[in-house]
Amino acid sequence: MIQLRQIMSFALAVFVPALAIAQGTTGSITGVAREEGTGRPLPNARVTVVGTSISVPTRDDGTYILREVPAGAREVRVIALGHAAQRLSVTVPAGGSATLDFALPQAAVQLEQVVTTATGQQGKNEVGNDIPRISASTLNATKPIANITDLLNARAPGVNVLGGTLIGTGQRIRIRGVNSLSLDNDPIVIIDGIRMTSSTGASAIGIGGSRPSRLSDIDPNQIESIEVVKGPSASTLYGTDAANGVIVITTKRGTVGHPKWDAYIQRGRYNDHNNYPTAYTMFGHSPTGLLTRTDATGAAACTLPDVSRGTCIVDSVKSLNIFAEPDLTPLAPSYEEQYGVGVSGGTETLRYFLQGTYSGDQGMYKVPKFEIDRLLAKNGFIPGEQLRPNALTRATLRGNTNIQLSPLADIAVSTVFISSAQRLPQTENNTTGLTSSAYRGPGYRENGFISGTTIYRNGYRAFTPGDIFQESVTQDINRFIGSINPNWRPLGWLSTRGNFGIDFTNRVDADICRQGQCSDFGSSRQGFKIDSRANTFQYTVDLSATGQFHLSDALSSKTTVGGQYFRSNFHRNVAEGDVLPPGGTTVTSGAVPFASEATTYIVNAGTFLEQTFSLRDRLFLTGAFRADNNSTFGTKATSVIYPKASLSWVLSEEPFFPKLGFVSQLRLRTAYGQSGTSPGSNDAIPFFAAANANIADKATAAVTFSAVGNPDLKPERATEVEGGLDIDLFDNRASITLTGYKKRTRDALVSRVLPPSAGVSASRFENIGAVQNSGFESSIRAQLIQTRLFGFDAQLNYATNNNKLLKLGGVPPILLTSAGDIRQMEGYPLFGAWPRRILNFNDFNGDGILTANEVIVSDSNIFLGRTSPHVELSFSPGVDLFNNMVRVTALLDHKGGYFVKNSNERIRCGTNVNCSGVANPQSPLWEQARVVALREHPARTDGPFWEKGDFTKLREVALTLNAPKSWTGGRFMRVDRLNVTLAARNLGTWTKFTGIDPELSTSPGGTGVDVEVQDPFQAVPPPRLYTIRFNFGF
Amino acid sequence: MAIVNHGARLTRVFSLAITAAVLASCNRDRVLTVTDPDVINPSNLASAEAAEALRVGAISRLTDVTAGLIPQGGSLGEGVFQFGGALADEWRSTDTFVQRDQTDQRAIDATNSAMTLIARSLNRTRVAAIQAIPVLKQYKPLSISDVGQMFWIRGWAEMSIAETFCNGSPISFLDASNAIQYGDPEPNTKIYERALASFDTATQNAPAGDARADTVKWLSAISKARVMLDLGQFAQAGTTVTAANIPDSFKFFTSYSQPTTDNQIWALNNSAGRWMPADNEGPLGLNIRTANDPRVPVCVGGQGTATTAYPNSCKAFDPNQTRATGFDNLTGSGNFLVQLVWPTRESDVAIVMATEAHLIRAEAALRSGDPVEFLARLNFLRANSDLFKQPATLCRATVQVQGCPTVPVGGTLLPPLTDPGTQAGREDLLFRERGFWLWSTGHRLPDLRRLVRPVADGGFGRAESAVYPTGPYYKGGVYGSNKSLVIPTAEENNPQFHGCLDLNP
Repeated sequence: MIQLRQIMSFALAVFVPALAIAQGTTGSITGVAREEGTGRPLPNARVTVVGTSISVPTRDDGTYILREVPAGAREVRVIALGHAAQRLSVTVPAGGSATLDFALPQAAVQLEQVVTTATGQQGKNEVGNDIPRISASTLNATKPIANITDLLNARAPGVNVLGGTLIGTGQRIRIRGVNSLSLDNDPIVIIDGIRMTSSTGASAIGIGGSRPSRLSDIDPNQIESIEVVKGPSASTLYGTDAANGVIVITTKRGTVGHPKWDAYIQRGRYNDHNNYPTAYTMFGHSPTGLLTRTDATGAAACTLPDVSRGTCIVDSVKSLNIFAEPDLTPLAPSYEEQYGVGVSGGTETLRYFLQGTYSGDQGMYKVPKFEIDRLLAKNGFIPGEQLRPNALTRATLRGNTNIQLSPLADIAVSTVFISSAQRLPQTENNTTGLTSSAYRGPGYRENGFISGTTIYRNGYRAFTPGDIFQESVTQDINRFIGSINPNWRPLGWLSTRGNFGIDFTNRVDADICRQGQCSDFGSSRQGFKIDSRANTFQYTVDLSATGQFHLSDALSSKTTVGGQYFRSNFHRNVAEGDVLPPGGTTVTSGAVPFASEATTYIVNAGTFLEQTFSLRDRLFLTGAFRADNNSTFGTKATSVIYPKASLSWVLSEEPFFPKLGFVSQLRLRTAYGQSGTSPGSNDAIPFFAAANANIADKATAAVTFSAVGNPDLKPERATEVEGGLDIDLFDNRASITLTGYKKRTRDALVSRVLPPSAGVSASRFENIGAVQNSGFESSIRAQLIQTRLFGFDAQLNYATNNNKLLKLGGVPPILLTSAGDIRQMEGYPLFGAWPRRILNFNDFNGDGILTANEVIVSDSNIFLGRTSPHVELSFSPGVDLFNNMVRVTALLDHKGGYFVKNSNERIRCGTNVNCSGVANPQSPLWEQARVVALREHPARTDGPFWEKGDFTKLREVALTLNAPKSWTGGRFMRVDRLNVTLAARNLGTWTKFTGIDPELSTSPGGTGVDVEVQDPFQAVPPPRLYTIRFNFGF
Repeated sequence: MAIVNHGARLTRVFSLAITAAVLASCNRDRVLTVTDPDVINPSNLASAEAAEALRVGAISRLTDVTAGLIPQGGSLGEGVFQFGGALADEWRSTDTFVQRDQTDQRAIDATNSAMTLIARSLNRTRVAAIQAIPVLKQYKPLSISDVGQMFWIRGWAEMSIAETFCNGSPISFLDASNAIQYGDPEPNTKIYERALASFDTATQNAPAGDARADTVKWLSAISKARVMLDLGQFAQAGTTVTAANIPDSFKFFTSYSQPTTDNQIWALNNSAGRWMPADNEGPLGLNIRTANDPRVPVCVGGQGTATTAYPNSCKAFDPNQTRATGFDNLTGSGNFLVQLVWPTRESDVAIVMATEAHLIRAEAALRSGDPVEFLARLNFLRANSDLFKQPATLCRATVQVQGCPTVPVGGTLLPPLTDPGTQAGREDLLFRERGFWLWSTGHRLPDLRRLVRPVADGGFGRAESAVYPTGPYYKGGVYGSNKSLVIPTAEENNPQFHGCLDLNP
């Protein structure tokens, strides 16, 4: 009721005075927008009366009508993708109509002319920030895009994306570095004007590391564009939580014209191309008999230092690479498929877009042949979900409508329903996971029997895939995202805007081991079933009003006021039944029941005011502030005020600017702004929690003190300054964007370790830290050659990021791992690598084997470097042939200046004694040295397993064939447009990293070291993907 | 040329300003207030039921830190019984986690997260008891011995801090508003004095006739006498337990159930193989594999049938016991030991028993020069081993559950001991008997510390190399020199703390 009253107050405050001053007469403007030279009509171009909120898109035939335009001299601007903007003047007669036609020159490079901001769409020149835009619809049609990660990865400078390793698992997106020590560093996501749940790690059931991502629910085929609002200088008005940047997704919409049917069919095939480590076992005997040291099977085995010491006389060395053995490998080619059909069109009054899509993705995990034989002999069949335990299918139905209620009001309605089913294998950091056994077995097949059988494990350490994949983890999603975006322009100078919406996700996670199945570990074979049901609600209420008016002939003003309310509700119930009877598959059938419940509520409310002055429409000065409060702040914390300011100056339009023929446009820009990140829902309050207590063999209610809380808790506050320039050159044949930024996060929340003697929680959040990110970003796009038969264009993105922990609030350095090799240390990058290192090694006795006295290890941990890339470079060339009938593109991606721990080799050498450096007499000394440091040296350190993570990848190559006009235009099967794209992803990697893949990492989601420090531990890297896609237009 | 209407402009600015004011005036408190049902507000804990829940919570914390409980969201489930036993000679790490290896190797890094958890859990136990006391007094004024029980738990936690960690542990407190009042580092002797005071207060809060009064008195007497042994007050220790008139059947258990949590000794040894009972580790290490002693029965994991080489094959009586090697796969087939003191996931663990009272009396007799009484006391226990040994509620001859041997491993008879004839021999015998009777109940580490403690400080003055495991460590490298756990680095967040005062035993 309170909120309704406030909304009414808002409406009255804005509109009554507005209506009261409505006066004067209006007219209309009609015309057509065409392409210069060809005369081709330009549909969906944006026609705007400068200095007002009056704006319409052009129809299919390029025509437009602007109604209710204040009479008098007006300027009208037209912008269209791929064309240079054009501005013309016209006099609008009162009660009459003026005609104004446009001829827009082509821009060789795809220049974006508008950007989406928290206060609505604005001309790019008005904004003091660099907000790159990714044209998703183009990429989908012409690139091997399987998910939203593929859309984002290496497309925009300063946006670092680490993809998931399993089908359907999450991605880590970091924009301009890592801001927070303790909180989520993910950007927020806005879709069609409302906040969207985008959490990674969105599952109640772990499989070893990777978890699904809610961002991945969105079908990339339904996205028109993605804009990346990079930092606080641009994201201020998005409110608390926007400090890590904002991903703004705009879905496809209909255009005025006849119904257009579009369909696509994409089929893909995954092929594994990665090199997996070989397992070695060195058999030998001591001078007096068998060695006491044994391998996993109890067989006598020795290490290279044993040989050097003479305590082992080698009899034989065996090696095995499970992944290279056709009957053993747990990987097999798999498929990817995407289908979609949609229709769009409409009139000026009603535009629509309706699309249904389906996608299926199958991971490469499979039960290998030797296990198929065993299971078929035992059970007669293998269920499909166990045979191929990783898969994702998703069906999406989207309906977007734009309704022109009157010349002064329109409303956009966006709805999407998503239904997906996912299954995930046991893998990664998981004792009973596939890779724990596949990477860490011995160098031979006869390593003991599969539990309960007399069949060899065939080199798998403890468990074999047939049993491992019998544990079935699934996630079913039913999700609805709906938004209503009304716009009302009661007056030429006043427009109001609303975004109301809900993102609702119903999630069912399940995990089952049937009685007598799964890995023989713990009590798994007694059977269990976990059923977790979660509902997530994300509500958005966003209202604003913008007034635009001329203060003088040269000076214009635009004022926006608004308020936003976001509420996130999460409810989960988990039921578990353990000890299942034969055939039992439900929680109910379990003899031992468990249940749990979890709830989270977070509310954020804010108001903002933004004022922009524009001088002659080429110098734009903006100032704004936002007042925010949040349910997670402490009781002593008050509202926070985030200010912002920006300046954009189109210098090349100034009379004094020299007429340089090669400069089409030069714009200087700078921006300053603040934003925040809120703590967790209960971080501020002291509370008790219910405890598990079994007193005298009876479950008894108990409470224990859980958290001390922090009443002073407030958000982290990030302040950013960025500056740069945009240059368009050679009649828009090339464009260069250069940006430098410096971002400082103060009041950084440090999960301050509490002393054990306090007897309370292990830590609590305190606003005591400070973090700095600075860097440089550049993007160069150029159409280098453009002839009828041959064209060559290229885009180069380059970005650096320097990250430093400025202040830790006086607390001791935070050691994030037991070995202390990942630390938060003042003056150094967040999550820095601090291993003990090998200072020197030398094979003094010349026997080709290193022992402890031949390896010198540092006495203490030494700073090695960053754990996230310092440099990112991507290059995407494109070649057009035969009047654009053929287009070939590629994407090269380089990341460098960081370190990754080769944790797979660490555990293979240290625990499983099967790596080359420990058991291969041919292994180089550097491999042996780190094994000695880990196993033999008093330091017992795995520090030397940190390696440079730098890599260059050929991510994409694509060939698109556009059918000639003679084939289309309705001549063949009524097809109006047709193209075919052959593409491949993950084609090659160049790196010195000796692990499987330098980009390999689990993606658990959440916060802290597990997320921020890439860890390839027992993960399987992404395979190569080949796709063929047909796009039809009817 | 645009027409500028100054009046209209002012009106526009005014209307927008009003809008901003309206938005800014929202009642943010109403809008922002949320109630999370997952948490229990301190204000909800003001009733007799809440007092009881806090009391049970303190016992839950005690379970956590003794025989172990998986902490919320955690993976290291052992308590001080196993962790301290690893630093001594009771448990061997068969894990890949360096935290466990370090401890077993006596080469502990102060950042060791498992050790940090032990320190934190001991203090959480202490704080939970302290938090329950005023609420019990206010809302259950007639259940005085409940208050006594909380004082005993407080004392038990204080005693264990001193017995387990180096000198210098701070004892911090929470004030009424739950703000932390940081404690100064204290030598263990001072912490022992705190514990003695707590036990005395516990006894004072155990009036005759009250429901739990006897239990509290017996717990306090045994624990107080244990601290007296730590302080070298042998005679007083013997007098204390004798005066308490503790029945021989007395045992105080932590209990487990599958819906709450598993017995972590069982979970981490029998099930997950992260720990394994140590056999002959160090100069005083018990030969539990070959001793065939019913007090610490063990079997060999993964063996199909009992053979001469593997006399106690786990699989011979439990087909589910198939684990043949430790989690680290370094033990090798036929070498992985599985304890059967607590053979099921629901086995109760006695953390205080009358057995200890007799052992204390035996030690007091030995120190007072009465070897006859010393030996008689030990043999009394042995003659009644079924009464004095663990477990009490499960796996007895009449209660057969899966995981229990149909034929008790190690038999049932403990033949009487004979006098070794020398003081040193009697001391060896005493600590061997204590080792078997009190195996994995948090006594072994303080016993080893007492053995190497100077006589002047109430110890036995033995050389470290004659007591603790030394020399090559089976996973590579050599044993280190830790005689106790060290106060973890995390304590440096206490501004009063600057490291262990010393590493003396």
